[in-house]
Amino acid sequence: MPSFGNAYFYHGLLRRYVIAFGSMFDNLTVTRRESTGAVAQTLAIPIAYAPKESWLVRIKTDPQLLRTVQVQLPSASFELAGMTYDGTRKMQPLNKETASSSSDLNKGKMVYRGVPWNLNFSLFLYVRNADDGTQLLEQILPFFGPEWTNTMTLIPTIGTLIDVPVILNSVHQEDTYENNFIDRRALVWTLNFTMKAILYGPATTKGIIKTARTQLRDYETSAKTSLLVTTPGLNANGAATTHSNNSISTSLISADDPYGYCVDITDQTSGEI
Amino acid sequence: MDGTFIVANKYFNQYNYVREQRLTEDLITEAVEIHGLEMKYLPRTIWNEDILFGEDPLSKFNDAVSITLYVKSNTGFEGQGDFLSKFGVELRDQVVFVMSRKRWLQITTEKLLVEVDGIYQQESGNTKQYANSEGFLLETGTANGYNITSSRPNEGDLLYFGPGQDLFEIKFIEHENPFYPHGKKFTYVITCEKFRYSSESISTGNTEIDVQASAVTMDMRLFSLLLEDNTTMLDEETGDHFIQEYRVEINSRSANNEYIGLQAGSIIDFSDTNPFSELEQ
Repeated sequence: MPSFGNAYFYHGLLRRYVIAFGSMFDNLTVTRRESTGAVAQTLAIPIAYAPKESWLVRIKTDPQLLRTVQVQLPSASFELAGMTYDGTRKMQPLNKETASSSSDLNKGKMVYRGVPWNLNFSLFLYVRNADDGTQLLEQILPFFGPEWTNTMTLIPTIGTLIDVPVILNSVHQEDTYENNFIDRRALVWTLNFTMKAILYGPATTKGIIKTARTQLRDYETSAKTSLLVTTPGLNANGAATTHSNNSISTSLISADDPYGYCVDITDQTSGEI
Repeated sequence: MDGTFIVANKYFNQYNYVREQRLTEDLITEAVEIHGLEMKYLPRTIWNEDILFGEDPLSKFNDAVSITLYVKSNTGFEGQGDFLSKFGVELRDQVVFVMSRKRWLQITTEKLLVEVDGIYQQESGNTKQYANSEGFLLETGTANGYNITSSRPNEGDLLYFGPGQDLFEIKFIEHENPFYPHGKKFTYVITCEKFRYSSESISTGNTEIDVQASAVTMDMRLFSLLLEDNTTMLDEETGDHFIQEYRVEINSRSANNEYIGLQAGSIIDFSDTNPFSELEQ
């Protein structure tokens, strides 16, 4: 189904942002020490995207229905809670990001500058012990002042590296320690973040301009005076050249090659070059 | 120890008649034995208490003591049951057990003899009996090694429910229900919830329980590299363990750490230092 006059496109950007967010917290650990200070335990902290299909979670996490315990703690999860347009980061929409095509040297890929959206993420830390929670927080908070910037490849075919700041907005604790001894005590830290994301439209393939022709005319008579033809120059050894006669065919030159600029000037009053 | 009731009417002694108390106690204990299930009681050993936060993350469970409990909620577990939360499936089962006080005192002192055909077998020459002449015969001369020193079952201790291979944590012990029949308390009503496990050490010597616990611990140190003499290989500078290649997914079925990390490898430019990816083990 075409959208806004374009053919179907999907860069998987939101999925990439979700992965990038989760990966910031996929190596957290908690250490427990003896009274002597010696390390007694080093706990790995499992993390997963929180919203999931219930049936799939059920059959994957308890396939034999033999789970011994209620839950394994500490545990972390995260979710993309929502998003808002960020007009303060709006840029000239006709700017493009381009890349050469590996399959066709005479074509390149292009995508218009993306639109800025703020993605609201929440990170949840579920701990049994308060000390576990303080350890996890101290592994995270010092790196957000208040932002941490990831450099991301958002559209692999374009390949441009984009800095994506992630801002820590707030930290909230929920601790239901007041109870009748029977109710569950849940100690959950919630960290709210804003990711300064960019969403891109469709990437298109265009021919690469390899020849620029500039026609000069006499100001008063409008008669042609000279023609400037600019082409990339690359000799057979792969070195740049400024002489078109020494260059291989422009159709064999890639946008990524270290080409030089050949400017051939034709004097149209005398026919000399 | 129960206090003594002062009866209002000297002609009707409802509360201080010891023989009736013993009869009731034995009947209750027998009923629990007949209708109950043999479970394992795992006392918690407080290892390094955090005075400030009031917790003990390094608690250990080093014993598993047999005791019969009556399952009060015998139509099924109570509580919220299986619950899908932000952290995957939580088994929020609760259950209420009834324990004979007499039995509790027995397991803290001597191990019960093996029961055969409904009769507790008496060791040759063993004449020791529990507490009073109406008590069960007990094994003597064999140190049971149980590490139960508390005069009552404690909140925080665990119960292993064999039929479901479930570990339950004691949340609350009601000690006055029923309310002083014949002037004495005979039972503990124990409310439990399925254990919210935080990698506490469970090494009871009971293979079934220990295997279950080892399958859910997140302690990476259990994967430390060992030397030929089976001792732990230590970092010469820091004295820390070398952890073998460890996957969180080994013991946590809900973890997606590995998948997220692999996917991020093609998305995030790691030439900039990711502070969370270079933790020293």
